[in-house]
Amino acid sequence: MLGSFCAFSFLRVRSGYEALDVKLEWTIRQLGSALSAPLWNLDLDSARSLLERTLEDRDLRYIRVDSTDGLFPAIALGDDTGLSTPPRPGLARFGSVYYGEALLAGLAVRGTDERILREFVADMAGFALMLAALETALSLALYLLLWKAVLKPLLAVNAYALSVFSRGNGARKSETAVPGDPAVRNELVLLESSVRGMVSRLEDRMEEKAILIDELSHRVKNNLSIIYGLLDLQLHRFADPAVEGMIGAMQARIHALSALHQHLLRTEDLRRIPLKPYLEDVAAGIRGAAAVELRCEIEDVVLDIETAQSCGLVVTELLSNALRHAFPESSGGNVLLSVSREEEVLRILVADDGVGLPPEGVRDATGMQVLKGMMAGLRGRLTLRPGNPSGTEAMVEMTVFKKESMHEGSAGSRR
Amino acid sequence: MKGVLVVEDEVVIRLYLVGLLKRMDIPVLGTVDTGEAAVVSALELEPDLVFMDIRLAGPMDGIEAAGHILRDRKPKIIFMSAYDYADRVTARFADHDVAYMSKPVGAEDLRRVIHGSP
Repeated sequence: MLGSFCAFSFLRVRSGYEALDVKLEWTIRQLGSALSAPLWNLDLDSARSLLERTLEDRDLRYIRVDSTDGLFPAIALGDDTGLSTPPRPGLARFGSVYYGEALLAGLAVRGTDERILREFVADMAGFALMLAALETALSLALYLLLWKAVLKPLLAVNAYALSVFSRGNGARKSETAVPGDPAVRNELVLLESSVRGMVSRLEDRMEEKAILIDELSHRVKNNLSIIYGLLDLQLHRFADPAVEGMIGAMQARIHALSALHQHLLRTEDLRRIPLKPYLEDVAAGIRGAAAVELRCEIEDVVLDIETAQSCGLVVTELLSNALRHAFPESSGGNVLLSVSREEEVLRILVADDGVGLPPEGVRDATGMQVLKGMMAGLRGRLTLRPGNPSGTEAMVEMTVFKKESMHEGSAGSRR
Repeated sequence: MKGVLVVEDEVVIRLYLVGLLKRMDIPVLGTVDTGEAAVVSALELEPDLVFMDIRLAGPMDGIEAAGHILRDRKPKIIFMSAYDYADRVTARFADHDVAYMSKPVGAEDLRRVIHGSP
């Protein structure tokens, strides 16, 4: 509640010396009820009563005298203001008015009722307007201050952060500048530059890591190819078909591991790999010069690297077995590699139309041991059965998990 | 076929390749382990096929060496690397008879590439 406020009235009066604009200034107390009505509802009658109450107020202590040279404060002292007697409309008399030490005696304020009222209402409106304007100006200044000092720099930093974020995998270290507004405060420029420095350092580190991963992966592949070459050099020192078969099987396994790295290097995601091109590559490597017709029916599945590697080794063993045992007289024949997925079960089938399973059963050779060992780890199952109408069908069924569950990383979903 | 030049700095792989080529009855004119030596040997020996490793011992890599060789001679160049340079090689030497093989190079793959069948 507004307890009191000042009202002014400017009246042109004539003193003994010169024409003066006199500004009456008084304190209006307890105006809450009057002011609670909007100003435009302040009719002449209520304004009059308001003015009369005001002029009766003993608190009137000051007048100001505006000369043409500017505004001078003058003091009308207490009872000497001449207002001890109730004022008559139109006349306010001041017994002794001082301007500084100088006495401006006998200053009288004259005016008609109408004029005083008009001035008063205009002053009230002016005062309210001034208050509103002051408030608006203050808010505006505050907003501008906030905008310049806080919001704008924050938005700039935000835009910069967004641009860094949306840069994606493509262009590294693109020069995304924060708008160079001189109004942006030094602290925020500092913040921006340190964010930028951090981003740049992070990018450097990421680049180093990527190069390192590439290099490591290539080293692995290079070493595998050296082992492959060493085995080959050994192979040709012996003319023993058993040694040849053994070393050939080792080379096929190395090829499968190497192919995995090759395909991994071509994928953006170093953890998952498309199965089809990888297994086709593995199968082609195993087939080599064998005089068989190899048909691949591989479903488009993306697997995590561990499962994909297991698939590669399973396919290597199954295909090598088929090529080694199904066609003993180099008679040629047909081999089918089929890989399909149903829900969480991946089915790898290698079927040939060769001589079929030996009546004495399958020997527990290295290949079989590798396969059986992998089945335990993969929660898989190996089935060997006679083909229809001839040959052998070797089937491995293994559990893989949906990639959604891989992403969620729920504890039970991974091997 | 007159013969091949093998450019490879890894001893085991060089031996392996040479053995493989010999078993395929392809004469090996020479083996070198740097890009600079490859350029010199290619000019001297005039092979009709060059097996070119890409990462080599010296400062000059296989791609640069191939660029120099193809300026004066037109042998078929088979690049080999454990690194995946296939795109770079095919883009750089689009107008030449070049092929790319990923290491380890199997005997059958080698035969296919030499004889130009897919």
